[in-house]
Amino acid sequence: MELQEEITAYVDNQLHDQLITLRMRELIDLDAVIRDEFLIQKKVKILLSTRFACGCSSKRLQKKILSNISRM
Amino acid sequence: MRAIKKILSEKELQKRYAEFENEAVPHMDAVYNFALRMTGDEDDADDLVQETFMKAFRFFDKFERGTNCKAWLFRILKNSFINDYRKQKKEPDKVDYDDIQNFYENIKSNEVDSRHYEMDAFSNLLDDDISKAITELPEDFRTVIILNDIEGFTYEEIADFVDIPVGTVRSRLHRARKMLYVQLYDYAKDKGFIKTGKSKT
Repeated sequence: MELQEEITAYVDNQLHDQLITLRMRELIDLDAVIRDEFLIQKKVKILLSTRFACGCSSKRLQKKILSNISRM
Repeated sequence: MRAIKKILSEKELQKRYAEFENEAVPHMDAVYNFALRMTGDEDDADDLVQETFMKAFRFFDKFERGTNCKAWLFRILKNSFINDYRKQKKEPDKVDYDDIQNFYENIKSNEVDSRHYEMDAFSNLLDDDISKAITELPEDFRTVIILNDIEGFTYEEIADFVDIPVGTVRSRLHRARKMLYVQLYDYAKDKGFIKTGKSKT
């Protein structure tokens, strides 16, 4: 489990040890199971970051909040 | 609680408005997005965002200038979500971590057709399908995946926000993505976007 979770950290660029990062790259190239885990993690991350990067509050809500704040 | 206008002078109030508009208001979309993903309801998200910004303005003197205002707003939202929204709406998801672990362990790589890892099998899914899959995740897992993959917080920021160790953030994120992948794979298969291959058992 520890290794699989390190794949997640690798995908998120959150592995702070360069040696572990290099080792992870090698494993992804050499090990099909590790590569599959990597692709799942990466695919979901990209999907969410591209499809939901920008949420928008309505202009009506923004106006209402600013108006309420100005009355506080 | 006394009105701010009675506490601050006109000059101080104007200064606070100006700083708040520069520091906090630009994050309103991100706060709304997080609220929407957490509640799954536009009206509830509106209410939560309004509550968050009212509190943020009231306590804006507590915000440490130069620190991450977006993270500060998210913390206020989280507290409102826990203290107000949950009490009014529903109990939080009861997460049985053994169940999650068992679920996770049962998701083996060979249960989905590996040809689809590299294909864009999910591109035809609607945003609503993806939203639904996110909403169906247990709250603890939903929170970390939204904060990391949608809002771009680091593991350390999420750990601080949720008050869990960094290792737990990583672990929840790993499992959340895996659960989401299987859910989306099933949606895609049900809709005929994936013609062949096995699904989870």
